[in-house]
Amino acid sequence: MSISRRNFLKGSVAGIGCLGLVPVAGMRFAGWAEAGKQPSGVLNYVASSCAICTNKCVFRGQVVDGVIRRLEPEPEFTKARGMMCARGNAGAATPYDPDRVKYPLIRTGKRGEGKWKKATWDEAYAYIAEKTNKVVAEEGGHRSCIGFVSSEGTYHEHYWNQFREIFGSPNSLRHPTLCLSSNIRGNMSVFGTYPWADVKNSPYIILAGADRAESFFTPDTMDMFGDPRKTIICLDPRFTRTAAKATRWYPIKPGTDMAFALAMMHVIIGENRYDKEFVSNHCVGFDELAQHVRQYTPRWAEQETEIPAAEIEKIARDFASTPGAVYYPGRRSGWQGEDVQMRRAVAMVNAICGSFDRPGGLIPNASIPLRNYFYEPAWYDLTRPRLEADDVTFLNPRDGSWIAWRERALRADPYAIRGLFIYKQNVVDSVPDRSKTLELFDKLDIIVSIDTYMSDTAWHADVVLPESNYLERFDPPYSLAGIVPYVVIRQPLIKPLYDTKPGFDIIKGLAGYFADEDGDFLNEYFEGDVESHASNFMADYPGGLEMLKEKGFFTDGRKAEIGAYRSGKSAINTPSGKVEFYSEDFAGRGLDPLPTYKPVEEIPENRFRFLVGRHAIHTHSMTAAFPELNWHMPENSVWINTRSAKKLGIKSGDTVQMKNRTGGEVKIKARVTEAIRPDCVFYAHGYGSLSKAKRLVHGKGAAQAAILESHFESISGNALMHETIVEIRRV
Amino acid sequence: MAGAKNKHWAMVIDSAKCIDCKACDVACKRENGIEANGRREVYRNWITSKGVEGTYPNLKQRFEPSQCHHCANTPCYKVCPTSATYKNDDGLIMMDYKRCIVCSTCIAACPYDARYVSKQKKAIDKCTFCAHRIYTGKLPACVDTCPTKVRVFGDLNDPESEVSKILASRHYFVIKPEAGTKPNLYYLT
Amino acid sequence: MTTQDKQQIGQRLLELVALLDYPTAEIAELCGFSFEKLENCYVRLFINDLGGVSAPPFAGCYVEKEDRLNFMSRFSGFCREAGIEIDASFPPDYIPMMVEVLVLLLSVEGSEADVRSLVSSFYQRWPRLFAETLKEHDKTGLYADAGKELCRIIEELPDILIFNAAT
Repeated sequence: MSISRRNFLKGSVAGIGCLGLVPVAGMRFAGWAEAGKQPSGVLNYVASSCAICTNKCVFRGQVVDGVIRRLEPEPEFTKARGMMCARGNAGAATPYDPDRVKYPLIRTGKRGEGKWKKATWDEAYAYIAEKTNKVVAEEGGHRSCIGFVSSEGTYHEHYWNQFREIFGSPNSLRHPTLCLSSNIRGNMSVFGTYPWADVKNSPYIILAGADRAESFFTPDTMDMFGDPRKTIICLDPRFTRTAAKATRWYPIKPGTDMAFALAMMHVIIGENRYDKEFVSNHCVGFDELAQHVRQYTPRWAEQETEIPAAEIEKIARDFASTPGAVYYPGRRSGWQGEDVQMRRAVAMVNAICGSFDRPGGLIPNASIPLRNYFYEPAWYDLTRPRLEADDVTFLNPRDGSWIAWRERALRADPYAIRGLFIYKQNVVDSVPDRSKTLELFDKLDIIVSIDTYMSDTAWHADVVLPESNYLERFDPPYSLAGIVPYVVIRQPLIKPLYDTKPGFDIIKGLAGYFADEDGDFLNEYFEGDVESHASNFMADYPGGLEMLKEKGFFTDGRKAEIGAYRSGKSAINTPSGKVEFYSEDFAGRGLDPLPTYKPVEEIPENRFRFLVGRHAIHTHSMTAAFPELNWHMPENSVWINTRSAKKLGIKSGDTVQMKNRTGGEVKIKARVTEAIRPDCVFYAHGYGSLSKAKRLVHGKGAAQAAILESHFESISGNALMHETIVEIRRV
Repeated sequence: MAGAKNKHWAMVIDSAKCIDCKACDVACKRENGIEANGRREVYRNWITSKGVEGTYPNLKQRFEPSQCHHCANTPCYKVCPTSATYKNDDGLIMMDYKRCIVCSTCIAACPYDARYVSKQKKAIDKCTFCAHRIYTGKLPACVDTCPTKVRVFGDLNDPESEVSKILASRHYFVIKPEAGTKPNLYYLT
Repeated sequence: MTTQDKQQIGQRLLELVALLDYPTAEIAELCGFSFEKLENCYVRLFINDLGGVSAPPFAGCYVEKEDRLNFMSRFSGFCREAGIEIDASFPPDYIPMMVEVLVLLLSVEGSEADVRSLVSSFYQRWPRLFAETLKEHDKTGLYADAGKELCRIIEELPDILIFNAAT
C-alpha cells in the first residue's frame, strides 16, 4: 500500500523540481466551518437595483448557496413596469467574469502593453500619490493640472466629486456632453426644465431619432410598445426596431429635424390650430415665433428633410388635433451643428399645442429629495479656472465639455494637464476620435482608472483600481426623478470577490495619500461610512431605509402633479416665468433668440454621413463582451444601403475600409441592407475594443470612437455625433 | 411535480408588442441554468423574424416570439420510445432527462421546432413553462421579464384568469392548426 | 490506505495549491525563476491578460456540461452540507480552493468513498482541460507542470483509493 502511494506521488513530477519542497503554509481557502454542516439549496432573494444602463431597474436577486443565479424583475417597481431586459438578466454572471479586474494593478511595461503586477491597495495609492504630487509640484503647486473623470450609474459618484473638490481641481468631466446636454439646454431655454413625456397617456407620439425600442428608457419603452394602439411617427435615417414598430417611418435626412419642426409650426400656426389658451396665458414671444416660421413652408421643408410636404402637413394637423399628442424630446446625443436650437424647435412644437403640463404631454419631473451629503470644503489659492471655461456658453462646471476640454488639454492651453483620475467612464471608447484621446494620454504623467472591467481606458492606465461589482456593493440611496419618482438602493447579493472595494472606500483610501495646503490629509474630510450616509439621506422618511432594504426601492406615493404649472402652483423657471419662444436670454448672449434653420452640409458623391445608434442588447461600450449578449451579435458590421453598396461593388460580408476626414480609419465587415438611407452608414457601439482583456470584442468589428470625428457645439458643449463624413472602399 | 388536474396552463402572445429585445431568451437561460456556450441552436424560446422586408423606403419587419406549445394532442409525446417525454396532469409536456436516449425522434415530430439537444443534460430539452416556478405561484421567466408584456400566462380553467378573459374578448389564432396539435400557445391578431 | 498516505497526498495537493496561488519571491527562487518574470507570467495567465486571461483558474470555465453558475452553486452547496467553509472572496469554482476542499475531505478518517463521490461529482474533465490550456499558454513551464500533476492526481485518486481500500 505504501509502495503504490509512493509510486503515485513520484508519478510525473520530473517537470517540477521543487515539488516536495514547496512551502505550503496551511490551508489558504477552505477549512472546517465553525457552524458545522448546513443545509444547501435554499433560494434566497436580495432586493437591489441594476447598473447595466442608466435606468436602475429594481430586481430580486436569486442567491443559492452564496451564488447568484438570476435577477428577477421586481413587479412592484412601476418605473420599469416590472421588467428586466436582456442586459439586466445577463448581469447575473458579471461578478464571475474571469476577465474582471480583481486586484489593484500597477503597470510594469509600456502603456497599453499589458504588463502588470498585482499590488496592495497601499502600494497602489502610494504609487499614484508619488507621481501626482511630483507633477503638481512641477506645475508650481496648482492642482488644476489633474483632470477628474467620472460617470453616473454608480451611486458613489458624489464621493468622487467631493474628492476632486477637496483635492483642488476644477477640471471635472462627466458623460453629459457625450449625451444629452444639448437636449437639456434646448428644453431649459423654453420650459425652464427638462421635462419628460407622459408616454403612458399619450395616444400620438413623434419619435425623432429616439430609438426607444432599442435604447431602453423606463417606463417610456414599455409604455410606447406595450400598447400597440398608439400612433407612433418615427423619423430616423435608419430603419430601427422602433421604425419597425412605428405606425409610419420617415427616413429623414440627418440634420434636418429642425426644418421638420419649423414646418410643423408653420402649418399649426398658419392654420390657426395652435392652443390659444395655453399660448396666451403661459407663453411669451409667440408673435415673434409666428412671424419667424412663416418662411418655413412644408414645401421648403420637403426639400430639406426629404419628407413629402403633404405628410408634414398631415402630421402637423394630426398632432395639433389629437389631445395628448407629444413630440418626444428623446435623450439621444447631440447630432449636428444647431442641436440646441433644434431641440428648442421641438420643444416649441409641443408648447404651441399646449403639450406641456397636461396628460400625455411634457411633464416637469418630480423627485423625492434626499438629505444632502455634507462635507467641509477645502480652499486652494492656486486653483485656476477649468480649461475650456470660455469655450461654451452654458458650461456645466461639473460636467465640462469633453471635446472642447480635450482640444485645450492637447494644446496645454492655457495650462498643461498632467494626469487623469478616471472613475467608471470608459473615455477611450466613448469620446469621439479615439486617436486624440490616446494622444492626450501620451502627454500625461499619471493615469488612474477605477473600473470593474479591463476597459480600453483601464488598459491604457498606469494604475487600475478594481471596484467591487454592483452585485457585491452596498450603494447609498439614489433619487430617480420622473413623472413617478423613486429612490433606489443597491445591496450586496454576495461578498466582494477578490481584492475589490466599493467606490467610497477606494476614494477615501486614495484621498488619504494627499494633503491639503494645511497639511491635513484629505481622507479626514470623509466622515462616516456608506451605511451612515444612507441613514442620513433617508432621515426625512421614517421607515424609508427599511423599505429600501426590503424592496430595493422607496416611494412616498408622490408623483408629478399635472396642471401645477398651468394653475400657477408651480413656477416656470425661465427668466420671464413663462414658456419662452423668443429668448431674450439667448439674444443677450449673441445667440439666435429663435431657432433659425441653417442648411446642412451636402455630402459629396460617394461619401456617407456616419450615424450612431443603439442596440437593445447593449449599453454603449459596456456589454458587448457579455457572453449571453455577445452571441446575438458576435461582431458589429457597417450598414450600407443596397443601392450605394452596389455602386461601390460591396457585398454583405465584405471587409471594407472606412476613413473619416481627420485621419480616422477602421476596417469592418459590410452589412448591405435596405434599412438605411443611401447617403448614410452606421455601425453599433461597443466592438473593436483595443483592450485585449475584453476577449469577446477585442479585434471584432470596429469601435465608434475610432471613426467619429470630434465636433461639438458651443452653446451646451455637447459633442456632435452626426458630423462625421466617411468614405468607404472594399479591401 | 405532477401538476394539478384542474389546471389548464396556456400562454397568450401579442406579437404586436414584441420589440425583439431578447430579454426572454436571456431570462430563460438564467432561470433554467442553460449555458449555450455560443451554440446558436440552444434555446427554449425564440423570436422569429423574416428580417427587413420590402425596398427602401417602404419597409416592414415583424417579430414573432415562440416556444414549446405544450400541445394537447402531442406529437413529441406520442413518438418518444422511452417515455422520456411525459405529460403532467395539468397538461404540461415535460422531460424525464434520465430516460432520454437522445434518439431525436421528438425533434423531428415537433412541428414548432421547440426542442434541442442539450449537451449539459445529455438529453433533449425544451421549455417547461418554468414548471418549477408556476407550481410555487410565480410566473415563467419569459413572462415576468418581458419589457412590453408580450406574453400573458395563466389557467384557462379559471374564467377569471387574464388568459381566459383575453381569449374571450380578442381574436386569436394558433400556429400550424393543420398539424392538429391543439397547442396551448395562442397568438392575438 | 493509511492515514499517513492520505496526508502525504494531501500535502502534495497543497503544494500544487501553493504553486497555483499568486507567486512569492520564495517560490520563484525555489523554482529557479526571477520573481518579476514569474509574477508577470502569472498575471497574464490568471488575472488579466492580452486577449483575456489565457487560463482562467476556474473549474466552471472548463465545464461544458453545466452552466457555470449551476456548477458553482452546486459545489458551494456540497461544501455547506459537508461542513466546509470556502473563502467567499473567490468564486466557488476557484481551482486552488476546490483542491483544498478535496484535501480537507481526504483528511477525514474513512472518507475514501466520500472523496470518490466528490471527485465524480465535481472534478471531472476540467482538470484535463485546465492542464491542456496551461500547457498551451504557460511560457514558464511551471504552471503547465503543476496543472499536469494536478490533473494526474485527481484522475488517479479514485482508483488509488479503491485499490488501497480493497487491499
